[in-house]
Amino acid sequence: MKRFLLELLCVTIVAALIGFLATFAAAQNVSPQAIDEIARRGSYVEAIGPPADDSHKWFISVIGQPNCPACQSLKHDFATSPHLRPFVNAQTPAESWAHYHVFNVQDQTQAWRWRGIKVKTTPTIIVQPPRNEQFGNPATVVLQIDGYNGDAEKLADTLRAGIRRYTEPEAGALFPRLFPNRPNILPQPTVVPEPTPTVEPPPFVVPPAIDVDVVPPPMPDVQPEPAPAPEPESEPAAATTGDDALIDLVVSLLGKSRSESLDTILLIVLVVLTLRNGGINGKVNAIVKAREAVSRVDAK
Amino acid sequence: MIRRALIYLGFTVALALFVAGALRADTSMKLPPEVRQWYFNTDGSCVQCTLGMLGVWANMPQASTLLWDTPYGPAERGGSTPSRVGAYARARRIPAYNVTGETTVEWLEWAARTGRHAGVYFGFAHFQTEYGRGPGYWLVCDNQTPHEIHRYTHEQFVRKHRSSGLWCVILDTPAPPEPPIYTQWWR
Repeated sequence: MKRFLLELLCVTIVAALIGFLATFAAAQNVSPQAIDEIARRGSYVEAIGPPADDSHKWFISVIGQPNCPACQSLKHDFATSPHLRPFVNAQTPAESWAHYHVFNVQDQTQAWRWRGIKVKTTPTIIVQPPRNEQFGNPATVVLQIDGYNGDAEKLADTLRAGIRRYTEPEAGALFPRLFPNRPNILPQPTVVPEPTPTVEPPPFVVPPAIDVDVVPPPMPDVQPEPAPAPEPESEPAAATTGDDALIDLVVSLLGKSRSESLDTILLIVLVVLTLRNGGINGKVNAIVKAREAVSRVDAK
Repeated sequence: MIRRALIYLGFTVALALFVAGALRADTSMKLPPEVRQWYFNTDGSCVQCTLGMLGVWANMPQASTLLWDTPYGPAERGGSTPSRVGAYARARRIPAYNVTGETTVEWLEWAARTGRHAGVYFGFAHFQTEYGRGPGYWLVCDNQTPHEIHRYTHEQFVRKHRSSGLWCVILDTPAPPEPPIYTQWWR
């Protein structure tokens, strides 16, 4: 019995140790000092609370490329033109009517974003409805404008007309019918023609294309190695040993009490324990031990 | 033994398909698995892996290139603390809310609702990507298994975050658009 308890204790300690070490080794990514620092900083951020919810804002995205005169002209007009200011405030994003983003069509880290549309030229302007789904699926292309001729006023008119057409009562009434539930908006495997760069490469190198000194560039087919699992043999071995000890204990108790019902219960426990050891050997042992016990009870 | 293994395998595949199908309708980041795989955590850089993933989502190259030596700055590797994040964010001009303390869940709600999403202290000494939020649940991408998206109930998410440490990081940038798709809305 003592041996069984000791083994059980050892197995528990070893299993707990393996689990702790595995967890610790796998996930020690935030330095231990972080907990102290979080406690020391307390509730701290450069703002009192989160800014206002801006999920009602529309999206205006410019897809351009470096050294593209029309792209530079468009970005300049979005930054300065009074005609475009009602749509985009590039200097103060918090005051802007739309979330404004400028993307580089040559940036490989953003190529996944444009799989659902066709970018024919640069600059391309994409207008999308707000994220709060007030106007349906936020992935919807409300307006796509290919190219820019430098006329900010005309661009403002085009934006205004396109958004109005989408949001006018006739079209607006379609939203609930078109988007009763949000459709699947994962990028579809559409074949997008590769843009043909006619100018210099971007002023920066995108991550997958550069030589990395620290680690090799991420490989798309890398699979994480499974964490080493603890050896499964230890626990069943301990259980078998423990069962044997229990069987010995039950056999030693059998026939020593004056109660027949207690002997019957002990007999059942004995059979269950020996059967739990499994296999033919276990059954034979159970029968042999049960017979011995019964004969002892009969003799008594 | 083989029969049991086949049953488990079939069950796992069915469950995975069910979860994948359920996730397709969620409001969440839309990074393809092969892009998330770039930020597979190999050396205990979980904070930078998370911020890199957020950087790709937000179109912020100075954040998406954190793990490597680039013109935006040297590679940032290894364990992090709030002050280290603040230091390299300033050095690389990454605008970010570096939040500690009791308001982190409030910030995480804001980040998910506005589509910015966040890095969150989630698990023992571990930082992960808050990937999405739905009614009553959160989606989390673990940089140790970036091909998977894990789903937690709100209670599980908050409990695990609070027991880890009250720290989250949100990139302070206009919310990025969802990957656009053509829909014939005018019909």
